[in-house]
Amino acid sequence: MHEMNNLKNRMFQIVLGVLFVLVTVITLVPILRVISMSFSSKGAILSGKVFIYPVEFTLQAYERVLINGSFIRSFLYTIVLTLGSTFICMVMTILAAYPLSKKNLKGGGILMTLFVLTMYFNPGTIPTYLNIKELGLIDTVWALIVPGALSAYNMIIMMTSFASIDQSLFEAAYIDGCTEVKTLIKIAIPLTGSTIAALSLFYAVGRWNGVSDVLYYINSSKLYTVQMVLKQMIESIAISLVEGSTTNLVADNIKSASIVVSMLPMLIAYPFIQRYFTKGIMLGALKG
Amino acid sequence: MKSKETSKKSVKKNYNRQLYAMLVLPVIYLVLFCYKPMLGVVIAFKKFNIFAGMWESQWVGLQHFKEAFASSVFWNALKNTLILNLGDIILGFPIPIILAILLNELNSSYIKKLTQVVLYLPNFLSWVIISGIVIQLCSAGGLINNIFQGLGGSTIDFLGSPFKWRLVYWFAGIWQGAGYSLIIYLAALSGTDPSLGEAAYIDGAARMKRILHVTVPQIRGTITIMLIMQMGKIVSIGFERPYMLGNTLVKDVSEVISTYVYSVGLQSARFDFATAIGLFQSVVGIALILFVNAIAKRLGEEGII
Amino acid sequence: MFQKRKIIKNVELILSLLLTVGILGACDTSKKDSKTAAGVSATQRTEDTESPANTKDSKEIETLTVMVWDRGTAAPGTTQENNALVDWIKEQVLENCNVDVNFMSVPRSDSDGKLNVMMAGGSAPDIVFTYDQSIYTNYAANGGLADLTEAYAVYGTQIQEVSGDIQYMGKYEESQYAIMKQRSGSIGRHITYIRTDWLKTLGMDIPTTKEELFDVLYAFKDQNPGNVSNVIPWAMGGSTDSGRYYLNFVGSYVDPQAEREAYIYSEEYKIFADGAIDGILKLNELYNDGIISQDFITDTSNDMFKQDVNIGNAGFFLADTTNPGYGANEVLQTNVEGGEFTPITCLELSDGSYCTPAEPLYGMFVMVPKTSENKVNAAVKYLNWLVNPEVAENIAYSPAHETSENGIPIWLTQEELAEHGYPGNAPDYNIMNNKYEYATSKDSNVASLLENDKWGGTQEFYENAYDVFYEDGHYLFPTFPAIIDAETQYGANIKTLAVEYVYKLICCSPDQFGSLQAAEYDKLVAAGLEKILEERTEYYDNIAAN
Repeated sequence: MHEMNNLKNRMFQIVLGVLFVLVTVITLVPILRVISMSFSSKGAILSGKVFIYPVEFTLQAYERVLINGSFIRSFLYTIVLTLGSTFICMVMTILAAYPLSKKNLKGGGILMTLFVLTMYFNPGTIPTYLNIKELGLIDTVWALIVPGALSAYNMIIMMTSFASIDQSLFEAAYIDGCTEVKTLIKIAIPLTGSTIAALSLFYAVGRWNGVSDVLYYINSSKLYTVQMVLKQMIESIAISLVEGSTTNLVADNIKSASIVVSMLPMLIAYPFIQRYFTKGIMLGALKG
Repeated sequence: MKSKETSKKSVKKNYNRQLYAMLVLPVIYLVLFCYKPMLGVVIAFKKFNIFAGMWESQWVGLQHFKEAFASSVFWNALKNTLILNLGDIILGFPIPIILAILLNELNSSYIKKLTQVVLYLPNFLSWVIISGIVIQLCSAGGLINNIFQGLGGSTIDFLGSPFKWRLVYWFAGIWQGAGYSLIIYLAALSGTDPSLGEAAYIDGAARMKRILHVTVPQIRGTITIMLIMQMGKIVSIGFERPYMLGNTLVKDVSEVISTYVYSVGLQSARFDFATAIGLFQSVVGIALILFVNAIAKRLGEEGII
Repeated sequence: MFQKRKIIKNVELILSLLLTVGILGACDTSKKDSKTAAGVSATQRTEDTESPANTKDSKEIETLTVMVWDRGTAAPGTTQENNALVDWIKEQVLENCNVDVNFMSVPRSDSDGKLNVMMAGGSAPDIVFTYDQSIYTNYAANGGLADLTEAYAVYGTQIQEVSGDIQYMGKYEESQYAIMKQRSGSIGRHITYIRTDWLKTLGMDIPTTKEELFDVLYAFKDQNPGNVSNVIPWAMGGSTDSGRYYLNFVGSYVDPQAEREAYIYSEEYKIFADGAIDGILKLNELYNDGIISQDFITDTSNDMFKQDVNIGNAGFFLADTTNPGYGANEVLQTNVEGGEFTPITCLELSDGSYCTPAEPLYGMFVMVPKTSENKVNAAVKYLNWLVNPEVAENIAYSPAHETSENGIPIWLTQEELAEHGYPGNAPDYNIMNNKYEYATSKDSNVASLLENDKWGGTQEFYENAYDVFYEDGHYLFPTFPAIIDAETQYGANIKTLAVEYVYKLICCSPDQFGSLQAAEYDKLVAAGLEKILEERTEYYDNIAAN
């Protein structure tokens, strides 16, 4: 029977493996197209010749993107901003999620409802803008950190994660005389490392890609995030004889190059964060 | 006995104080950044003059709501929103869960890591980009039709026929969003106890049985929460996906509330009208989420509220 | 580059010294003149001896913040607000108008959106601008703009000279609320292009009437002169932001209109004028005969259209005048040897004349927010200085530009601009006047097109192009500074719906045409079309009566 199991297992693994490789390939095709376009010439793209490999290979698009003066500076600035902002977001999220995960907390239900409501009510651009203005945050880096500091959606996920921790662990800690803060730091956080990693990733990606807040709240270009700078570049129109023309004349290869460049940091960081999602990394505590 | 109880009680109070202390910052955030601007919904009941401001603008009561409710375009948009969102839930909700469970079963960590990275990539691309690729793939001379013709079939009009367009919409959405949900489920799975699974395995349970009876229940909480939140969003819909994928021929099924608000409201800077529709969506969304939450609790699950 | 800044700063210093000396000197001369009273300040006396552009009515320097578009093209180490071009402008403006000008950059993408929030929040710069007339009318009608009438009368003398004839568009209820930017020339909006190499192969002449055009198109289809795998006689795209692919064709089925009808059915509304439906019917016929791209309606990004044009499958199209296929002949020729698209005029009206609707002479609306009311004088002075064609040229082409032998200014490349510390989008600072000195005669315009060659064409090619773009059938719709409520409310949506209306009618089968047309027209009415047309009619009748 063991041997049969082994064979069955192996078959299963192979089928799974093939399935996932297929899924990966299908997912990759459009991305390969974007990458190919970034290395192709403008003419080749316009003629519809580019599919999943570059045609008329050229580094011209990347030159245009990277040589832009503000690009490098904004790139570094955005990385620092993303790291700092993600940290603040996670702190806020945990501070809210942990108490609310305690079902016996008085008033917890009401607070929870208040949080949930915020997911559905969006007052619109102008009231939000006016609010930020009244708080004096316009044109400061805090306008890019504080308004998005707590996502109710992420908070709920974090809360669910805390709530799924076995209660016996907490009780043991209380008996040992631990305060809530200590319990949070020593037990809750280590056990939910994977969720924390996942949410950090979401906050980071959100901050990295977000441009609408930069557009409205920031006036000085030195506070522009790198995605904003790239967006500028894409909107840059070569001297057009037709005023007010909405036709976008920037080459598709430059657009694609800017997309690839903006994806890179996340791609590089992802494998490092990824190991927190893998199985069995923090389960020792349960057995103990 | 008594002493234990009293010590438990005093212990409980202490914890509560600390817990409330933790909540101070988030609550301040809520008030300043979420609820204060919410006062702006008053625009929905006014003829908004951006120079007079929210409070000084003229009051018009339910005029904008009446305008929307009287328009058949609005109701069609609402219908389309519901259909497209339901499709997303039925087709798109289970897939990341299944993928996560299967990935969890995979031994090869190399394929696991590769898949995770690749599946998350589409999340970085905006719909402006993705739609260009999807339209090219699905067009009459595009890759997918070329494959069909190669296999001896005839050209399928994906983008011009209403039902097939919906399929394109749903699958493009799965392609773009699966990676994101996948991470959440994987994170939940990694918090599960493998010893339970191993016990079942030693007991001779088939893999399928083990998955159904051990793994899935362990992430049931996460699945429920995610489902509740998505149900609550059923009257809301992103703007970019339907707008960029849509075209004139399928407008009857591709026009949704977000594109309706854009066409009729935002394009003409009619913020008041746009806010009114947004308010409508919020109210319905809240009602739905309370409803679904109550059902979940009846079924014995932990709800959101 | 930094050295240059230092030099400029030094120059500024020297100029100020000279100015002071000049003032003192002028004091003496005026005393010699003796007619003026002794109590009049020194600066006022110098006023009389200098040109009208240099009006200073106080010794104080006024500050001014001006909006400028940011396209992310600032030279390395500089910003949109702080670079060599800004320094040059500041220095000139300080000297000529006694105004210290600063810039506030606004991203070009979604500039109107940001403008809206800035105006709502009261944090807009002193001078703002937009191309969108409905935004301007929204601000004017809601009391968000400062009244420029007086300042314009006193300080806007050069504007009156150079572009006074277009300033009527910036009036609202008899007061001036916007100063209009002048366009370089009135170029036709949409032009027809045809593959002249295919014509040569077929031995056919360039069509000059629609009948000839149809003959050519059917010949393209039947004989495939380019020997391509998929011949598309008439290529179209599916984007719904504009009726570029059909408007002039449909419009040519409308008889020449009197001013009243011409106003009511301007631009995209022309498809609702009497007779236009025949044009749409004809397009339906052409589509069903396989002449028009069969899949155009799903090509919302126009990518397929571009491909067909650039790879050589397309024989004819009607599209935006400049950069119509995004690659023009340059890319076509890499794919097809000798491939050439030439602009032609062939859509004749019932009386044999041509009608190529052109852009009006006015462009952007330049405004001063009400919150900057105290700066109207400084603002108008600045705009007045800007409107001068020489100044405009120096800003748009940059102060370091050279002119060719025949007086055509030459554009600097992005690299050259960066070297000087100038931003890559220098023309964005030039918000008053695009009509430079040279742009007044046909020859210099042709020379300019040739100089800044984009189509890979010869002198002959550009002469023909110039005629087609600017002359043949050149037509301007009557324009008025009207504020049509219905249009503000429904206009944007109706424009999109109108394009969809035509597209659907082109693609349907011939027997469905009638019923579909009725059904779709009803949708347009429900969305406010007739309200707009009625209010336009009302407006015209009102002003015609006065």
